[in-house]
Amino acid sequence: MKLPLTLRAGTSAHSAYRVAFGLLAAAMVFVAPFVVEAFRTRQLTQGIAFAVAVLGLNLLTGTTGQISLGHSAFIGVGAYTTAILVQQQSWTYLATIPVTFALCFALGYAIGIPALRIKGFHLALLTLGLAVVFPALVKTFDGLTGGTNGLRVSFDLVPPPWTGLPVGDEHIWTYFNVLAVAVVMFVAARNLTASRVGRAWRAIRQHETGAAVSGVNVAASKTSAFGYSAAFAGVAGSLLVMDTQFVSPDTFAVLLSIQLLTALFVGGIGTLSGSVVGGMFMVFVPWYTAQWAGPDATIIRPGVLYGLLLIGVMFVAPGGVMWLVRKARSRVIVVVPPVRPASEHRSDPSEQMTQQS
Amino acid sequence: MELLLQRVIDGLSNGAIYASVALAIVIVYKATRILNFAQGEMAMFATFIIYVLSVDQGLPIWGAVALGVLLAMAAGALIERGLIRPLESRSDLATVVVPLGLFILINDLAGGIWTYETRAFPALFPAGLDDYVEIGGARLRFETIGTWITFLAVFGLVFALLRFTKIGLAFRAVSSNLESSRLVGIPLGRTLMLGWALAGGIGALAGALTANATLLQPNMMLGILIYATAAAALGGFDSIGGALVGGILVGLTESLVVGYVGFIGAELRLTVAIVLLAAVLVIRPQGLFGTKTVQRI
Repeated sequence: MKLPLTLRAGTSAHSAYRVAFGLLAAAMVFVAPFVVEAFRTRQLTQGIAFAVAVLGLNLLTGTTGQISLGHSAFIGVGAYTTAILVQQQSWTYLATIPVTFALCFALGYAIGIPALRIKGFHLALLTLGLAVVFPALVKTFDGLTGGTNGLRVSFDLVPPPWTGLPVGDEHIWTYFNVLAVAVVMFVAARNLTASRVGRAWRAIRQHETGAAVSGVNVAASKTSAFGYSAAFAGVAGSLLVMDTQFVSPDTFAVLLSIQLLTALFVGGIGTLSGSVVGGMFMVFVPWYTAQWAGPDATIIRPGVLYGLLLIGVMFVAPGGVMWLVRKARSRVIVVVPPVRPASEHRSDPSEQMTQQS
Repeated sequence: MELLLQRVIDGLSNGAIYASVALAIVIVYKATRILNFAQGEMAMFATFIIYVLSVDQGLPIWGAVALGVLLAMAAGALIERGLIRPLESRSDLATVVVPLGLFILINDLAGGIWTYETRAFPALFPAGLDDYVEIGGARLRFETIGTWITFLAVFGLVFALLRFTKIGLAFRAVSSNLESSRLVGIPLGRTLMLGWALAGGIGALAGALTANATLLQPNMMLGILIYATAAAALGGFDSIGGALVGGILVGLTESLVVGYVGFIGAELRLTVAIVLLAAVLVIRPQGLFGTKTVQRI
């Protein structure tokens, strides 16, 4: 057999390949929490939650090309909203997620309005301010937020009887809850970027004036990008609390925003799968670094590694890990467009949010 | 009245530090059109080196400062050559992301080497309890006077360098129009490296002044960077004089607002700078003295 294999999009062979690949991935995701240790499952849960946050940043940076350093604050708002509603108002965890989404969307939309007049690093600068202010605000309003001590949520996610999960396996139930929400968010992101809204975002990224001339409402598109992006980050915050059941202000500092940005670029900007890689990266890379070099290492530290990777990726692989993966995959399997009139040709929106420019 | 005067003096004291970091930011921006998010961290690292030279190696403090400034200038030039220039033709994203990478790298590296404990920095100026002059009941400490003299000396030097020397002329030409400068034969690389070196040196000095006014700690420049960028934005990112005016205004605003608006406690100090920054960016993005950018389509 000669490599690479060629698959024509739309043929049954291509469908079979995609279904097989999807089933394999789904099976791995489903079986994982039952075969690995409890603490690994919890790491995976956090990785999934961070993947949603990276996805949020991806919606902004990957499609409109703007950089936000304020996403730590949106994750924080989401986490605190869930913690407060669950702990003080006895809501269920999942019920808080629509609230988080709406709240962070509104917040992001409002912040997107000044961002309209701002270009390049100015937005990064303004949102950096947001990231710095958030922990300070949390500490100031300590009546609601618990101030510096943080806020503990004392309600577990208890698996209902039909799951057959024994007591002590709450972490598995949490995993599936977080996973379910994350899947919804990823499908939403996929649909969003493939829709008219997403096309408008990409047009703006490529040429703002050109987009405006073609009838894209630039102002509305930019603010909505920021709104959705913030909303996804907020939901990620809610998901994180489902696992950690604890929030404290300094978790959501500027550092988290820069880690998100690193995860975005390392995973692969502009791709959905890159966001998953990025989310896992945020959990496992610092953990293994600390395991390997010890927590008090002088030079080999997570922050140093993040910095080196962020700079390195810019020089070596601007498309991140997913770009490398695709390059490798193209040696084995190549998917070619269907033999149809050129007018019907469309790229697969699930994998190709934007082209690297 | 005494209290007002005291707050003005405090504001001016901080303002000198903000203005010096803002000056470094402006010089880098003029040279390469990049906002160096890592400027504060570079300054912090240089300050630790000054600390090591002075406390561990026993150099007199001003000798250590001089050596630290030189090292920081070399580091600034190297960063421009090694990390920034190769990006010249890449996307706008890269020019924002690479300084952020440097930011987190330098911060964590300093934390690893010197830990996050606070240290007292050797006094740069007479800082005894009696070292102040009284003006209308308010205390003007020698430290404040020293900070201002140092800053004005640096500002004067930079201004003279850019105004009266040949390399300064080249720098202004490059800053005004890169392509035309290249065409008339100005050595671009050397000029841009000079910009980053100058900024590195000014940053090191600003770091020493900060550590002298507060305590030495790897996170000491995080807040200062926000104030300084607010100052640079207010003055205009490409205006040297704007950095001076912006620094003073931000320092005064911070001191007066925190002093007179009750609910803004120590935690919300930075918010003042950020609100100011947002207001400038929205109302007058080019700042007070900056050049308005016009884009050809």
